[in-house]
Amino acid sequence: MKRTAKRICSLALGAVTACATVLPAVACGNKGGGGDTYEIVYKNTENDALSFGISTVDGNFNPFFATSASDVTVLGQTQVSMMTAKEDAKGDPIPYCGEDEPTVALNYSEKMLKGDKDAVLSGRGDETDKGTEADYTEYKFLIKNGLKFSDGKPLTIDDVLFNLYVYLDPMYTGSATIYSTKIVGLNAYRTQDPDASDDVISSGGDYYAEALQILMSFQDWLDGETTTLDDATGEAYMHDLVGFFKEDLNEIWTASAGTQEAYKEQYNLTQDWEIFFYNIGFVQRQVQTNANGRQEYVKGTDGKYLTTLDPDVKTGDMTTTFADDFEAYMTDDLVNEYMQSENCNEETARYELEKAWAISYAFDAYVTDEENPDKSGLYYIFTDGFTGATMKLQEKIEGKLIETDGVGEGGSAQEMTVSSISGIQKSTLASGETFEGKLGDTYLNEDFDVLTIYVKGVDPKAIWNFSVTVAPKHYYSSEDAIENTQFGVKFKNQSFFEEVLQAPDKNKLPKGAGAYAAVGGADGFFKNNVITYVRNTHFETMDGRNGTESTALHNANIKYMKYQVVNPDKLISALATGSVMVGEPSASQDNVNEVGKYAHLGQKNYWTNGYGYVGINPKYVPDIEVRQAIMMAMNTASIVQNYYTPALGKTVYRSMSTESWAYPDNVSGYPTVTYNSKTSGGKSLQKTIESLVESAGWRKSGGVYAKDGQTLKFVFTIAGETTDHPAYAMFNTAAQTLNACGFDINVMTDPIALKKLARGELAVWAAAWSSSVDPDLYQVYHKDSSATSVENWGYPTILNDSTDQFTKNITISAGALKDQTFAGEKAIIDKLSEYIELARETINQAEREEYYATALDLIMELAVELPTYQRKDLVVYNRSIIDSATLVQKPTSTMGAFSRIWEVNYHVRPTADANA
Amino acid sequence: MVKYIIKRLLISLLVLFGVSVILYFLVRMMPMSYLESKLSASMGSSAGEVSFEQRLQELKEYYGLADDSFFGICKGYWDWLVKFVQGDMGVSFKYAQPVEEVIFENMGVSFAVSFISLILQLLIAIPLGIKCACNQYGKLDYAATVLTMIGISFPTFFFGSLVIKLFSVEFGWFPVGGLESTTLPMNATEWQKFGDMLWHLVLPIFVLVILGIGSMMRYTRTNTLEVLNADYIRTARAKGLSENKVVYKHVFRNTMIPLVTTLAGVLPGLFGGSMITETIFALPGIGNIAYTALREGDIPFIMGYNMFLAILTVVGVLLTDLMYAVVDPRVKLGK
Repeated sequence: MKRTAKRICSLALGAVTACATVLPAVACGNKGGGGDTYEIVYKNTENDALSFGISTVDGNFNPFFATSASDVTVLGQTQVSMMTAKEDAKGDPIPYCGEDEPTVALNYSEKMLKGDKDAVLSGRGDETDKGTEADYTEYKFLIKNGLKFSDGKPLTIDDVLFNLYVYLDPMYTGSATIYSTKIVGLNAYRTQDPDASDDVISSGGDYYAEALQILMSFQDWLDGETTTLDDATGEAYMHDLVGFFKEDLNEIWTASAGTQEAYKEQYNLTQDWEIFFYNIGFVQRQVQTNANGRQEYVKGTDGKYLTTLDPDVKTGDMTTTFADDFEAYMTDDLVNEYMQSENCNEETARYELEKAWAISYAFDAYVTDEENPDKSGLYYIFTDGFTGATMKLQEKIEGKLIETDGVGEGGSAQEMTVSSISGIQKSTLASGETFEGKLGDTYLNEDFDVLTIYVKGVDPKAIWNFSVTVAPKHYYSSEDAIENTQFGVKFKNQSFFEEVLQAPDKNKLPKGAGAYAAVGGADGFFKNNVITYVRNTHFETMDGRNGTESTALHNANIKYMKYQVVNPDKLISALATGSVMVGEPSASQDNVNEVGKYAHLGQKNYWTNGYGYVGINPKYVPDIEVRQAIMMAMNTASIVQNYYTPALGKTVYRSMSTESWAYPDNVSGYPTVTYNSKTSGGKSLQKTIESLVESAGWRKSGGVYAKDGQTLKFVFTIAGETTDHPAYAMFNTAAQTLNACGFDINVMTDPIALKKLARGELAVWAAAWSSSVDPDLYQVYHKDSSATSVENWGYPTILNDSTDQFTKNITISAGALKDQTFAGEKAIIDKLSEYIELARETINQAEREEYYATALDLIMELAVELPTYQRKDLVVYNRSIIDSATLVQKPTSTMGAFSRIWEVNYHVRPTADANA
Repeated sequence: MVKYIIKRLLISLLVLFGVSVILYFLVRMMPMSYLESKLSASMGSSAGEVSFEQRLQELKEYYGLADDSFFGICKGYWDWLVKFVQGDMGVSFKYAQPVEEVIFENMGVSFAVSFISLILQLLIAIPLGIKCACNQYGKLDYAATVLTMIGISFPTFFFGSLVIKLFSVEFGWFPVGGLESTTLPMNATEWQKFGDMLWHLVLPIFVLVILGIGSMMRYTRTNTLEVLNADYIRTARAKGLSENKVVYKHVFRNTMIPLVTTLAGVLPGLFGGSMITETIFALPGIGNIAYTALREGDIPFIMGYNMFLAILTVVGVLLTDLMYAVVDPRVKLGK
């Protein structure tokens, strides 16, 4: 019995093991057959739905507030935009519209104008072709006639205005950033202040940003620069700042006093006032030039840093008189007098007197007269990094803004001082006139509405910001708002934005003028993980011809369309089994091979807009040579060779998408940072890295590089949860190379890396940029940018000298020191910023391209971002059902294979078959 | 009995309060929040117009999450509790709909799948368990034990993927996932649609049944063995009753006592969904929805869903205790 039981157990276990190993193997077998032959399957265009597989859908299909990529894709089928993007003859994307495109605009113009605001807004500005001369840019959009939404109601310029006013309202919290364009009068509208400047990006209800802007204006006012701040307000802020400055000094004293223990190992700072002066930058470490021409902190014979309280290392003279001043001040008489007057012991008296002296010394250095402070002195409170004082002032301003703002809190309606945005105008062009646009002249045989938008100065990316979708006012607004407001939008009204625009039914059921319309009502459109559309029978009006002489635009060939939510891992299976007809699996070689097994599956691929990169933050890796060494260890070509294969990826050599018109032609690796196993001097990679690191003053000790008690210990972070990442293998190889040289590198994955990145908390990381159509390096690389990316490039560290890895424990460090340490980077950033500004001053693409080419070289010189690869996207479709000839033949990042969805069709049964 | 129930209900309220406090604080202390992940995804991948911190602060204030201090979280909890008591679970960040709507809209599929699976599990596991117990250490017992142990040990994601690959991709018998075919003609009748839906449910139910049989079968087997050794069974046999009568009249009924009581405990499982199975088969059930929301830190949804589960669990435990009294006359409640 026992033997039988054992036998059964063994057999059962064996069978299961066999199943577990053989079944997947069998399952992975080539059932599809491969090859080029497949059977055509004829589908009924009026009854069989065209089906797409899609990953998780959130179900928020509101055109103003949808956030996830899947939701945007789903609702995108129901919407049309003002403009679209198309590739020009060179293959570069350009803004486009016209009869053959489903755009609201028929044609558009873009002009740079000189003159004052009144003249320009009333059409009397002089045209100029020089960006440097332009005061304003004028955009005109000729709106097509006869357009209809899917419910048959007309789409007019009023719908366009409704959409613009939603996006530009201070209460708008969606992802569109059109509010960041300096539209004339936008700031006045959002702040309801007719005198508000057009020069700054309006913050509207964002009190934090508004307070920050006022603070910046105040700083300009102190510096004697032109500013919108009046003198009375400036004076009031000035007195506030003096008070906060005193508080700040007291707080720094409290933080400094009694902390000698923390400094004793590295500094000869023994008294409270010395540490206090060190922390506010009055006392600094001494610097000298080493044999390699680099600036180094000087240490004394006791191994501690020499400061400006010590004799100068070169001359032997004292450079400050602090010690003498303090000695002269702290007399026994003074101490005795204090003890008597305050009735305290000597220790307390000395502490209090020392504190009073130190704070007063610092205070007087900036504020000569407390009652009538000097503006120029106070200006340095900003630039010398007394952030506590400036933060307090900003908070006070913010508090006042909230207190005085009568709207927003309850969303109550208010009497509007500025009822519209002066730079957005609606007009009519009469029949018989000609519209001179970027796409040629349009002769008008009937009256046309024209939308004009004026932008302050020149903003080359503004045209892309105006390419918003146009959703129906009659659906997304309310009767009350349409009747009682000018544009159908209740200004800064919370309940309108939450309960009307985002009513649950509107979030569930999108409506627009796209090729397809949502069906099934709010509860049926997205049901059982399936989204269903029906052909929009009014789509043909999008050619603007009022139903006559239909051109390339016609109603969709296939009546029904569906999206089915499919687990991304199972997408190819779903395509193979015919569960869905179209899908976009990730473009890996494995997937391409898997798709290739099924003869009935066709595939197209195209370059994406984004690109991968490795970032290095100078905040944690301050030496440019060390950053260059790390970059040099990264074999970027290996990503394409091993992960994507050359068919699906390519190496990128500059910090920009190769799909961008501004990516320079024929560039290759940048000399100072590019991996090369055999470097030009015949030195091995390891030798090259070592000499770079040593030129920055690092020396090996026990096989590990060390300097100032620090080692080259870094974490290379992979953004994500798994090691299945293009850069993982490259990071590992680089870590091995660097560790062999004397680094201490660990490679780790981090699921919350993006969060850390957004806060500038990573030292070395691999991630990817998703690029917009128009490259604007300002946000990513300009010294005045407030975007997150500049924190990752260490800009605050480099420009504000606030922190470095050797002085982390110090709250306020000395400015002059870091000026010298980061002098090279500062010069590069200044130059880079200049080129970025030059590129922003013109809308001439060729001119901008040249500026960008130089700017991109400077970025490589800065050694903070190493571009690695650009990959392709993959679209797979069932070619036995879908007629490949009806797809976009050469899809690009701006126009996918199924972008012209109304043209997509099934195989049409030959006439003889049909008759049969 | 009534007094006992009231007392238990009051204790349950206390338990739910404790659960909600722990949940809320845990959710607020998570390293990643929905707002941050959304924002970092959009701002981390493309150049933002405003700084991350500034935008995050704006959104946090908008959603009432700006104050991360202890008292701020307490205030947030109080606001949530007041609304929850009034039946308002808040609006899901991710799904932009009231949480209760999201839960109830998606609960149907989960319930259907879990309920059918449970019935099938019972129909297979109980007779099998009894049979194995009656043939202890026999061929059937060993075979069933080995197979059910394998069923228990298989990870759902592995077994689910295997089943899809085999029965969907290779044999083409069943769809890869979802609840309805996009390829079904638009003029299909309601019966065709219903049949299509059942067709989609076969594989997920199969997976749940296979993976769920094991524990129930083992439980039944153990209980049956215990009952088989009882004095009254010996007496029944001594009376000269046939083995079938002994097993199906005396053993079976007594085996059911502990089994019936465990059924009350499956309440949260019935309505709460099967996260992994639903995710693998892309079923629009509450488990799938909750999995996504949990991953992304959708605070209102996490709170609402977990409180929903907590309520079901508390009710389930209460029902279990009551069931004891119902099925076993020896148990008296209320003392």
